[in-house]
Amino acid sequence: METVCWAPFYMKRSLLKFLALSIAFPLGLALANPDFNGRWRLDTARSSALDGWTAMDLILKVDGSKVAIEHDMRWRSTRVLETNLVDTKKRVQVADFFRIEQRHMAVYPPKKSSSSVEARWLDGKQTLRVETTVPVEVSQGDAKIRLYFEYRLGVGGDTLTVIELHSTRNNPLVYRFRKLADDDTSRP
Amino acid sequence: MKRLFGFSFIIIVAVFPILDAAKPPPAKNAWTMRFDGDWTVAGGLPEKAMLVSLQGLTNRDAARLYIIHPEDFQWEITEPLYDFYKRKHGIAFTEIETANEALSLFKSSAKGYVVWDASEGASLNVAFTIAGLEDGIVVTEALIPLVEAHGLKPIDDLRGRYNGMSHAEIYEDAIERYWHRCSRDKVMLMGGHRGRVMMPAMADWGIRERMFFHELSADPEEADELELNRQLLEDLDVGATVFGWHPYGKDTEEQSTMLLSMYGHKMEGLHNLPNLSYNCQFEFTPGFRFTNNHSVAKDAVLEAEDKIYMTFVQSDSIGIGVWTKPGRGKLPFAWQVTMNWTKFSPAALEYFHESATPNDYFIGGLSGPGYMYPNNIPEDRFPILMDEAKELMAVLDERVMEIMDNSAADGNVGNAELFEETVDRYYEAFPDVLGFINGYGPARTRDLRDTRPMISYDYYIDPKRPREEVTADLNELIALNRNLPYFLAVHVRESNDVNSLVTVVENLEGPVEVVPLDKFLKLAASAKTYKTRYRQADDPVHFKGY
Repeated sequence: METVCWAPFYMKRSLLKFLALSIAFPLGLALANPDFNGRWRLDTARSSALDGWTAMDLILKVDGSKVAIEHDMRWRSTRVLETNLVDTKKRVQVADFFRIEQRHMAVYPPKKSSSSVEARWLDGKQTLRVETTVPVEVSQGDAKIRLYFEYRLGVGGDTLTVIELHSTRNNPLVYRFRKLADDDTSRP
Repeated sequence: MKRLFGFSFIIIVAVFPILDAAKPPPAKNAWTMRFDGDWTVAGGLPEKAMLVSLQGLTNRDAARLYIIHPEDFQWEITEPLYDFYKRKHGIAFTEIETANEALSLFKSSAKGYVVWDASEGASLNVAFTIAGLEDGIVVTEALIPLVEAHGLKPIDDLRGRYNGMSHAEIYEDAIERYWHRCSRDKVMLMGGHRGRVMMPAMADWGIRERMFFHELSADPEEADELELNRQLLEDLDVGATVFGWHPYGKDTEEQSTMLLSMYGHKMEGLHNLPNLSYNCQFEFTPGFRFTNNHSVAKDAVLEAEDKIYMTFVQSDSIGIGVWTKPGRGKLPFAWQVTMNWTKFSPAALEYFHESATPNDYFIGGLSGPGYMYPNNIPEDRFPILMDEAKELMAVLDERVMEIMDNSAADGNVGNAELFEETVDRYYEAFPDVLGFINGYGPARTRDLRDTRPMISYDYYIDPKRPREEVTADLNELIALNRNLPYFLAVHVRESNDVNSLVTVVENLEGPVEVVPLDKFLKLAASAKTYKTRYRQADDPVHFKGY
């Protein structure tokens, strides 16, 4: 049995994003860096420990200047699908920007938010940089975390390393992924 | 003054039943057996099930048989408690080596045997129920020659009776046959491990007390089982206790505890908690009285400084995990006491008390006089249950109540919040506590009324989380809660070890002070830097309820 955590809030959000992505990424469009595209599975043994999640995949879809970063998260029987749609040409507003929360911390996403997100290709399009600031609720009220991500494609194109920095955390979070075959439809 | 009178009255009411009900002291000679860790159905379970059923019978009228489990058993205290009985109660134990020897000694406690079907796990629960009612021991086919060699006769034989039947059908049949004869103030939810491994170490208690055994699901998706489960809960006496634990893989702890809380019943786990049939026969040793390690006077007024005040609480029942791990005493720790053990297992509580270091502080819980989810307790039952909790807390010299309602949570993440009306009820029911702690995983229910804060955990330490990440998490919380003083309550999951937490604390940033929970609450009462919050209607929920 699959259940979706925090439904219907996440469910509605996911559905809307899915519809938006279907329009934004029709098949056959030229891809900016096709090596990024595909489903990437977290190598938990070589990554920063997830907290309150048991497994995750990233699904990346690059179309021109637009990059969809989909998170397929699992916690026991719970599944969460969340996508951040960024643009490497211009700063965009992203509703309810998803971050891989450390869920045993009392740091909560607001019920509705909008974050200004900047994305850029670096290193000859081998690295995607994403920056934003997200609001959070903590025990003393509202706070903000500035987030910095680099999605680095490995030599050979079958590994991906995501480095995540928080303005409030001195240790980087490093997530290492390996690419799944195109016909591998398994979920984490 | 009124409060003082009320408090004194509670102490008198609470202590008297224990002193007054002085039973003849348990016999000074008893027997013990050492179990290994093999609980597989194909291996060690059948003999162990037979022995715990024999234990339940032979311990009915006297404390005779005590089981010692290996160090890696979930309840790690059986060996230390065995030493305690020898040392403090002067019990001379004789060790029994074999099941054959146990039968030779105790067969007169049994009128016969009940055969369960190893191919149908639920038949073991039915056999336990029959064993309690008919004074039998439970055996598999392979054990029949052994018990017959001791002159025991068959009482019932479940082989084949339940072939092809669902659990709902099996328990419907058992309810029809036996429920009307079973105890109505207690029921045994003998769930927990299922399938290849079963661990019914609590069955001695259920048999001694003639309880109905079952493993019915509380999951609405198993509607037929849920209906029967509800029937049992409805039939129980008001304020009854559900012993045991929910069946793994059939429902969740959250569903099971929510359901019984809706009927105002109390949960007392786990399914593998051993020796209650022995432990229940002991009182506290003469002259013993609980004196908690209070670090502040009850009426003290403290002023918080510009610091990060941090406190650690362990709440997974004091008999599991951290207590016996090295390092205890190096940090101030609050321990949620299973308060009902004053009735069922006073020696265990006395053992914890005598082995406490000055840094160990006991608190009441969980949510009331047993494990319950307070958002779901019927309004008319709430004050009665909390009066019971207050009595127990008075006996145990406890001044803090720990609350947990995971009915909308997803394990140790998600929604563990209290509705405002639930918070109101706690403040009304506990005028004399120093304050309340809420949550299991992190939560955000917070309040301060007069001098009593209600603080939720800002962090839950997963025992498997690398310590450098725990340190980073805590430092991030400190960075996000910049308004000093910051009150950082941390829940320590059962199997963490304290030594590793010492290292974590040494690597925290800022003016951090780890303080005992009572001092923490006093300080939190002086500077409300935390936001009042209750469960909101649109907070995410994992399980929508019944």
